[in-house]
Amino acid sequence: MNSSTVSRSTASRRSASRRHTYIILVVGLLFVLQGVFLVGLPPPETSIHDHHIEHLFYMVGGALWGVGLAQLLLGDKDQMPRDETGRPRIGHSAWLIAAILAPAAVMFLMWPSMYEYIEARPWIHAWVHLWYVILSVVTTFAGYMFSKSAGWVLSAVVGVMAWAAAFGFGVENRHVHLPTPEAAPMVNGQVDGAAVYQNCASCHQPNGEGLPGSFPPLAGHLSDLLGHEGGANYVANVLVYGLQGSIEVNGDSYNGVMPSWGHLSDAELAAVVDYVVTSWGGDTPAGKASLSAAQIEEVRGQNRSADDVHRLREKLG
Amino acid sequence: MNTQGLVLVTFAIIAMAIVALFVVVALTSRGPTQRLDEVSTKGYALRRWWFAILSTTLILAFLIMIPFYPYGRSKSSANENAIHYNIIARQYLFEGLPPQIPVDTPIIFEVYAADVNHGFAIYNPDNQLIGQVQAMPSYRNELVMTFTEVGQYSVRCLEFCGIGHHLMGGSFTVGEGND
Amino acid sequence: MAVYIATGLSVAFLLMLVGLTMRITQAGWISLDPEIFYSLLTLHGAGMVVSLLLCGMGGIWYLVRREVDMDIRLAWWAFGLIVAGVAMVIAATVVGKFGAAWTFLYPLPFYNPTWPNWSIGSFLIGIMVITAGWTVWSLQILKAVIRRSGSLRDALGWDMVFHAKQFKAAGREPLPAQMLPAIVISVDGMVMSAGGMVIGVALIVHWINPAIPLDTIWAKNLTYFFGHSIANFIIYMLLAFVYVGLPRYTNRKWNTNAVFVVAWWGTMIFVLTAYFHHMYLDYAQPLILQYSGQVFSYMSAVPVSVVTVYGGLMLIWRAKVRWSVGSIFMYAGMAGWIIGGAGALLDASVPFNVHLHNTLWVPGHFHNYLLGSCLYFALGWVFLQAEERHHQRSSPAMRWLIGVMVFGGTALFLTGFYVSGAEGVPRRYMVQPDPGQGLSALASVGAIVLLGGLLVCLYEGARLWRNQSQDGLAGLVNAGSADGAGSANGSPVSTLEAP
Repeated sequence: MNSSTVSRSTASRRSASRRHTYIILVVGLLFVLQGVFLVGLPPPETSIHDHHIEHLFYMVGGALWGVGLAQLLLGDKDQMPRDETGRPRIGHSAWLIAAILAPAAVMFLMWPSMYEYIEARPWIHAWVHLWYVILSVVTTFAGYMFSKSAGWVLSAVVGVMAWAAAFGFGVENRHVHLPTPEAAPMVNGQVDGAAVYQNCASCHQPNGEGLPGSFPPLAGHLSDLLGHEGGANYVANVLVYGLQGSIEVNGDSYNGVMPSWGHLSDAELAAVVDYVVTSWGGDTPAGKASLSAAQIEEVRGQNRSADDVHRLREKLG
Repeated sequence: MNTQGLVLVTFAIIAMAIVALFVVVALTSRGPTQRLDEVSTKGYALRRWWFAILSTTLILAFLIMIPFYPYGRSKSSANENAIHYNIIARQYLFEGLPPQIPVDTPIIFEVYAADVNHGFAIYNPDNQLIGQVQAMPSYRNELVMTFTEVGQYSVRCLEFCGIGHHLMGGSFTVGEGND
Repeated sequence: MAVYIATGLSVAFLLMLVGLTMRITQAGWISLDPEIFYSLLTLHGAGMVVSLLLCGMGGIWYLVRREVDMDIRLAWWAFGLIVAGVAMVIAATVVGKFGAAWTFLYPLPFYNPTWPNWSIGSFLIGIMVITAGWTVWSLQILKAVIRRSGSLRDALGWDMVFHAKQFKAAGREPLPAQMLPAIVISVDGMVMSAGGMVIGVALIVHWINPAIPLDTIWAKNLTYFFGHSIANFIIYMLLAFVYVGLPRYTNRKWNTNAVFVVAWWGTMIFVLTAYFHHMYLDYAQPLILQYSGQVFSYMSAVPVSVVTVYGGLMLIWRAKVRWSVGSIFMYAGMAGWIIGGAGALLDASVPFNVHLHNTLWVPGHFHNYLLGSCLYFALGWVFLQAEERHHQRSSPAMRWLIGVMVFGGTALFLTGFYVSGAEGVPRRYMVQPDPGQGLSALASVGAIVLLGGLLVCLYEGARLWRNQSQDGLAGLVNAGSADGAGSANGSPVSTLEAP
């Protein structure tokens, strides 16, 4: 058994470690007070991120208290208990449960959808802060009771967790917006379907012939679909919600993935359908809407998944 | 040979050298035996050399590489008159990919993501990966490139983005003359 | 220990079959629905990491317990939590077809999912439960190692390094080699758990209430901090097997001196700080972190190659080595580590990363580590146990057979990855652009040979364990075990005792 290199009299060692404990408790108190007075309750100008940084003070303060309290409790028992064979014996393992659950509980206490509720009720907010302190105390106390150094390591861990959480909980830090979408391309006062088709060309190919195995051809096929009973509704769904799952077109099977195009306007979607149908062997004269913008608008808001749309296709027969 | 070809060859050489080293050392176990303390004395002395060589190589390599880091290029004066393209990556295509790009001109791709993380990777006409950058929702990443070869380039998504990941891509042509 | 290792290796073997399925799909020999392919990808990734982690955890637990009394119930708790978590991950991927890859990079698991909502929760909570099991294990190991040494300072070998003269004068024993991985990983393990807990809770909160925004680059940082660390822990833990095993084969002690201890201090820091190399192409990341990513990644190579592997080579040099399947695996694992390290260092160099990021080079280097080093270390230990049980070892013919099949298969398999990567073939693609398909076929052949070799290992390991002799080779076996039968002190007894 390796003991510390310096040997001192037991009494002076005892008072030195007592001093250390009091220092830890005082520093912990300073941290918590810093949290209370400098932070208090968030004025509207403090960002959520900065306020969460201030939670760090509560948690580190509480963590230090946990260690200090454990030291006080264990007293002079820094002689390790040993078993009959002289091997070191460990403390009660149940402390681990507290040491692991408490930090997780703190994380859940930061549940972001409660923010508005809490900001409107300062005393509940203060109560939640108190719980941060209590749970931090529990974490490091339990860790210390399990193994002294675990208490210290957990203190550092709690601090790091609080700091990490501050950067991401309920905040989007640097929200860069997408460049403003260009207005729908127009030609002769109408939406230019050919220009919209640029979105589709990478998969369905510039001449609508598709890619074997992955993307079905649109040439000729789209007008077939529209001719079916319920076909127009189906096509509108495909455009707005996407499509996935294996399908059969003219005897060939295709197993690709079509994402949703709901972010395009109804007019654009109607224009591109018109373009496809009239460009490659369609039978709808140009200008007459094969699928109207109104039909497209109808299918919006139903929150279908690409899988759901696949089932719609099966019903077409 | 391009960069990654060089990397592969370097790696292959290192790998074979390691295997050779291990085989040689293993074969010494068939020969005369030495006591550990004898081996240690010479071994530790040699190790100091190995440490010195390895550290120097790593430090030098790092320092030499710094000028080749891709960061901050858009701010350099050489790229002041670059052409900007806004690329929006979304499942499963790259919006805003221009069909034609002029050769020998600095280009800045401003890459956004509309939904999930994607990767914007450019392959030259010989199908070699020449540049890439991540596309992250709520952030903008810039990829600065100057294309010196004329021909058909492809773009692929290189950050896993869903079951259509392997289908996501596009292409553009680099040609003479201005856009 | 045996339960941990047996479970880990069996699950790993099954997942290798899953991996093979993916490879043959990419080779074009079979065709799968993309949903199925990507959910298998997710399962393979998460499962492999956890199964090899189990092997490492079991090993360290066993080696520490030889020195300090430990409560076995905690080991069972950790195991139980991990198995429960794995079950949830399997349910999510196999039943729910959850396919966001094991890196569950926000916001992919949630956006327009092609998997049911419950599978997202199952996967995320499963990972959290696994992390909880890991934390229990870490805390127990931390405590035990400190109890053994008396204090954190002694467990880290502080006095050995900074007060060397007094240390020696006081007659204190240097730390046994395997104690260093134990303390370093248990401390680092808890830091990783902290990060994992934060991102885990954040993602679960988002799953329950999708209106809560999370910052994407914050999420990516925490995700990779967690992922990089847990994967690295595997190899550093399994290394303890080599620290204990190789000396037995060579009858030489593994020397732990101040240099050894300092090397492990380095590892303790570098393992946690190297993860920035996953963010090189996220230009939104602060520049200083990009530089430090390369610096720390490079530095992490130094302790491994200068101290650990060099030490291993010194152990073998002109020693009377009892060559057997066990020692061959342990030795080859070290070679695999350095080779994988070379691949990693090249990828961790930013200018090269531009060309290699997210290509097959990446799985190339980590399969090099996990397959060509971690798995070999684990197998080396298992064979050590089997061989020492009855003081037997395999015949040279058997050793050659296993060596050629396993190492040859591995080399072919890895070549497929590395060459594809250099050719720019992207990773995580069910259908690969040229020349991916052909190279996938090559890799599949390699994988099949490897798996065959592993089956031979299984057969041979079982045979050694049960002390069955082979006709005609019995003479060779007896001759082999007559000389240099290694020291059997402290060798573990049957599987039925403490795990």
